[in-house]
This record gives sequence, C-alpha cells and structure tokens, in this order.
Amino acid sequence: MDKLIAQLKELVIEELFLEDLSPDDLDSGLPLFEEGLGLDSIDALSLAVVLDKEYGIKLEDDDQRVEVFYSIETMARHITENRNQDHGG
Amino acid sequence: MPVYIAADNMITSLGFSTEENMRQMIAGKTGLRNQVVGDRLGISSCISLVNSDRLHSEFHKIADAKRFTRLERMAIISIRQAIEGTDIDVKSPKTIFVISTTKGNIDLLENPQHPYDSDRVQLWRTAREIGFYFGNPHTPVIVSNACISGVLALITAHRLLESSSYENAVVLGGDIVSEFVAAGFQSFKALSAAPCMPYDKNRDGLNLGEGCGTMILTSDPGKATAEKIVIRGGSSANDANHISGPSRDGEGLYRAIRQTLKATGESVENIGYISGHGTATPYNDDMESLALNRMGLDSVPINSLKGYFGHTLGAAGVLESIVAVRSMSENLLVAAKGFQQKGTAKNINIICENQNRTINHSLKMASGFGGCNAGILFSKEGSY
Amino acid sequence: MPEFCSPKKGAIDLAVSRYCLVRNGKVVLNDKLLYEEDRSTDFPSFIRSLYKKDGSDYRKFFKMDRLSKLGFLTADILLEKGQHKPDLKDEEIAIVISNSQSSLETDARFLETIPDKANYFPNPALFVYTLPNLMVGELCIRYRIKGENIFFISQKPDFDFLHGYVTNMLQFTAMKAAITGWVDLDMQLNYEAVLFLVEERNCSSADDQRLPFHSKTMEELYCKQYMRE
Repeated sequence: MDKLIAQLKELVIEELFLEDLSPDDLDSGLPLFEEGLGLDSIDALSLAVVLDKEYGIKLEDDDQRVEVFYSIETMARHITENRNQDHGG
Repeated sequence: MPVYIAADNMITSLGFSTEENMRQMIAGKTGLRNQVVGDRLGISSCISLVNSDRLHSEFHKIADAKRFTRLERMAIISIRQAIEGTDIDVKSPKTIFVISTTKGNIDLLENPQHPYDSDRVQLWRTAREIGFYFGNPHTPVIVSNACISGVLALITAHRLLESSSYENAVVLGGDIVSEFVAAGFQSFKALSAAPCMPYDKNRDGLNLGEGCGTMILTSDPGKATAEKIVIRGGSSANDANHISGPSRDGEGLYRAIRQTLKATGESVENIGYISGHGTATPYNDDMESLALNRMGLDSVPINSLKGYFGHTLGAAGVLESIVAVRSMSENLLVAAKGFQQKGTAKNINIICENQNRTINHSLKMASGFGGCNAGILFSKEGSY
Repeated sequence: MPEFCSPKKGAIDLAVSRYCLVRNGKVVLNDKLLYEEDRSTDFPSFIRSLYKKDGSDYRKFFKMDRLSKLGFLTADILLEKGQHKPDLKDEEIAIVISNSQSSLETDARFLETIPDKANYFPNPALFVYTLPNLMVGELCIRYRIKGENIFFISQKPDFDFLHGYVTNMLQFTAMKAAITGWVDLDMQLNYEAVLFLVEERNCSSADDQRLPFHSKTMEELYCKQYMRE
C-alpha cells in the first residue's frame, strides 16, 4: 500500500502539474478537493484518466469520482480493492 | 450621448453577410456538421466551419491571401463588408478598433512551420495586422476574456464612445476552430457528438464554431442605421466560486444582468428579447435559468444561437448581439435551433418557432471560464 | 496607443492605495524592497520561494498555472493576504488587468500533451488555464471579489488606457475600487507584474498621503530603474 501511495503522489503531481509540490508535502490523508488542494471537477477528470491508464479502473459517475478522489489514501484503497489484475502497473 | 449601431457583418458557416446568416437561420438551417478538425490529430467533432473555398475566393478579390492568416482574412472581409455603405472613416483618428478573441492565431502555435513571423501568434500582433490593413492610426484595443470577450468588447467600445474619447468604433469578434481548442474541450468531455440542444432536457454538450462578427458603432446619429438602435450599456461580474464550472446558483450572471439594468435604468418588464449564452452543457444552461428566474426575466422570450453556428468563443458576443439587433430592427424572434423539450433547473421562455414581435429592448448575456459573466442592453432610440 | 479620455478634473478623485512590482527576482511593495533573489533564478524556483516567503499557505496555489501563480502572489502581497481588501461590498471591487502574452506559456505546455495522433492525452487541468482571465478568476475566488472584470492585451503596458478605463468605470459604474495593472509571462519564462490598488479618496488630498491615480504615476513606478537591474 505504501508503494502505491508513493506512486499515486507522483502521478497526481505530474498529471495535475502541481510542480511546486513535492511528494513529501502531499499528505496521503489531505482532502484533495475544496479546502485541501482546491481541486475541482476538471481535475477529477484528469485523475480519472490516470486511474484508467495506469490501473485499468473506470469510474461510474461524478459521485463515485468524488468518493474515490477524496484523498490519496482513498484512491489507494479503491485501487487495491478494484485493480484489474491483468493491467500493468 | 447615445451610441448607435451603424452597420454590422457576420461570417459563419451560414454565410458571409448578416443578411445571409439571418436568412439561413430563419429557414431553420444549421451549419453544424460532423467533420474532422484540422489535419494533425484526427479529431472528429460536430462543428461549424466557415467555408474555406469561399473564404479564399472572397479574399482573393481584395488582397494577397498569403499575407494573412485564416482568422485575419475572416476579420478583414467582415470589417470591409460592414464598412461598405457607411460613411465611417476607418482611417480617421476619431475611429478606434476594439477586437475580441480568445485564442487568435492559435493554429500558428500548433504548426510552427508556418510562413509568418514568430510573434504572429501574439494577439496584439493579429490586431495590429488588422488595424494596419485598414489604415487606422491607433493600436487596437484587444479584449481576451474567455467567452464573454465579445460582450466586453462592445461594452468597452460603448464606454469609449460615450466618454467622447472617439466618435466611431469598429468592434470585431473572431475565433477559429482549432485542434488546440477541440482537444481541450474534448478532455473536458464537454462536446456533443451531435448538433447541440440548448436548454433542452437531453442536452449533452456544446459544438465548437468559428466566425467573425463586426459591429460598427457611432455617436453620430446621422451615421446610424434607420432603426436607430443604441447600446445603452452593460456590466460584468465574477462568480468568485469556481474557475471552470459555472456557479451553481448563477449569482455572477444574476449580478451582471441586474447591474446592466440598474446602470441603464431599464426595467425588467420592458425587455422584449434575451439572447442567451445557451452552450447546451448541462450546467451552463441550468445556471442561466436560475439567474433569469432570480431577475424575474424568466418569461421573456429567449433563444440561444449555438444550434445554428456553434459556440464561436471570442466571436460569440458580437455575432449574437448582431442577431439581437437585427431581431429588433425586423421585430422578429428567431427560434432556438436544437431545442425541443424544456429541461432547465428553472423554467424559461424558450422561443420554439420564429415569430413576429415588437422588440424595443433586448439583452445579450454571456458567461465564461474564470467565473466571468456579462450583460449588455440594446434599445430602440425613443423607447426610453 | 488607444486613449480613454478622463472625465473633467475633480469629477472623481482616485488614489493608488498600494502597489506591488515583481520583476528580475525583486519584489517591491509601496516603494520598499520586500524580497530579492538573484535575477538569474529561474521563474519556477523564484515563484516557489516567493510563495513560501508570502506565507499565505493558500493551497489552491499549487494547481494554478504559472501565469496565475505570478498574478496571485503579486496580488497577495499587494493586499497582504486580503487584509487590505477595500472595505466595500464584494461586487463593488473590480479587476482590470492586461498583458502581452495572453496565456501562451500555458498554451505551449498544453500543446505538449497533444504532440501527435499517437500521443493524444489532452490534459484538462492545463487546458482550463489556456485563457489569460483565469488568473483574474483565481484572484476573485481568493479574495471574494465579484465586481467587473476584464482582461486586455497589448504589446506593452498601456497605462494611459488602463487609467482612462478604470477612471471611467469608477466614475460611471457601481464599482468603487479596482485592482489594475500588468501581469506577463512569456514562453521563455521572463516575467513581470505590477498591480495597483485604486480607491476613491474620501478625504482631502492634503490629509491623504497616497499617490494620485495618474497614468504617469503608474508609468514611473513600472519603470523604476532599480527594478530593471
């Protein structure tokens, strides 16, 4: 799980161009949306692409996106539970 | 002092003049087609493109096409056509150019092998080429403010004329369909695969369009059109909420409209027609209905023109204002192409079929990325 | 350069309450050098240290594009994290900003996410910032500024025009204060920003030490020699 969290931090920073944030600055429990990093629905679209591309996971709808992308930790948990075993990464 | 409309021109997929565009719209035609955008990325989308062959042949008559980019050619033809038949001297220091565009010559950034100077991709450079062509002595004013650019350009021109800074203004709004923008909107999942359905229950996204709209404004009543339609004023406001999504309660748009009416002293009851933004995305159209409902404008006939020639971004505010003004001079409400069933958060009075109606005052509204919103009011002189 | 004729003298009395300049590794607030880095420091490093120095801990900073980061920090220093936001209704404060490059720096970065058909991954988080007024949107969100906003493009800062536009707006519309200026970032990451907070003078100019709002004032501050070295 730790390795996945480290990987996710890098992916989120890269995909969302958070170039002034280092993985160490990004607490895995930090809310990514609203009060936390202030990410919004557009960023959620980018993260959904990451989930699909890297882990073969597709999300159903906006509600699921909100739930899964709450924090790096919730993302990691969802991936661990739903990962497509045939998919690389 | 009143600021009159002296002339106008529209260039879209539907034609190269306002008359041609109006005729096509009244006949219910749309310029939206499923086509491939550009030639590099293979993006297929339902879009509205200006006819390239016609653009080439029209421009060939007046100048060397190689000297100017696609957008510049459209702009030059549009302004030329608008000036024809007016007494406005575009070379005069009393005339100012105000240009609205979101991405200008962005196709040059996509394709670095272009034959122009490297700074031609800069918006100020595009504007300068256009100003130079017409021999205007001033640096054009350039507004680049997302999809409300066109409305803001008209408001800016109105304020410049009202303050007697100038006597005439050439307001040009223009944008092209580019792979850059298509790819971006595709990544937002904001595009509809079919012709858009503004305000409709089943709307599922917007269509990109390109075009140029020119409005020539003057403070000289002798140069105004016979109908003597004036710009009364306008306003803008920011949602201060989200940068990409429209506000869920339409507060910014509500304030822009309210401020427009307050500043012009016009009352809600007298508005005869509203030209909506109506991009046909689920959220935008809902947001507009909320703002209109709050203002008490929900029973005023409203349309969106995006179903005719798509969302033309920096050109939209000018193109759609031209149609609003023509609707007033012809006392005609044009149907909202693509709309079939009501489906916005609040009920609004969408124009379902063309109809004659005396319109003395019309409101154009627009919203855009960055939480921006704007409104502008047009009136027949003598009606206020 | 286009001109916006100012109304008759005395019709409205405006002052520059505060101003902030950012250029060549230097940050100046109201004539005081607040912060200085070596002018050769690249923009991303400079803006990162400026964010830490500013100490606002505004987490939304991280997702902004570079142009917005520049505008945000210049405004945050100008308003001292909002402490100097004018005591007016949110909808009475306007933002009128200009630049020469539009959002080209971000545009170029977005294009890198779609280099060709086989590598087509348009990034929505970047695309959203490919409009220069997004920077204004970020300021509006941060400080809850809800009045008029407009973004102009010009090859060089046109303080005559900005002065005329802002004066006209503050005199004839419901706006009572404005943040105005120039925030520019080119594709080589050369940056410069100058923002002015303009407010109506409520007392006589004899008692008010603030600079008058004139295009000359803005021009002189912008051209400050030590900012150019």
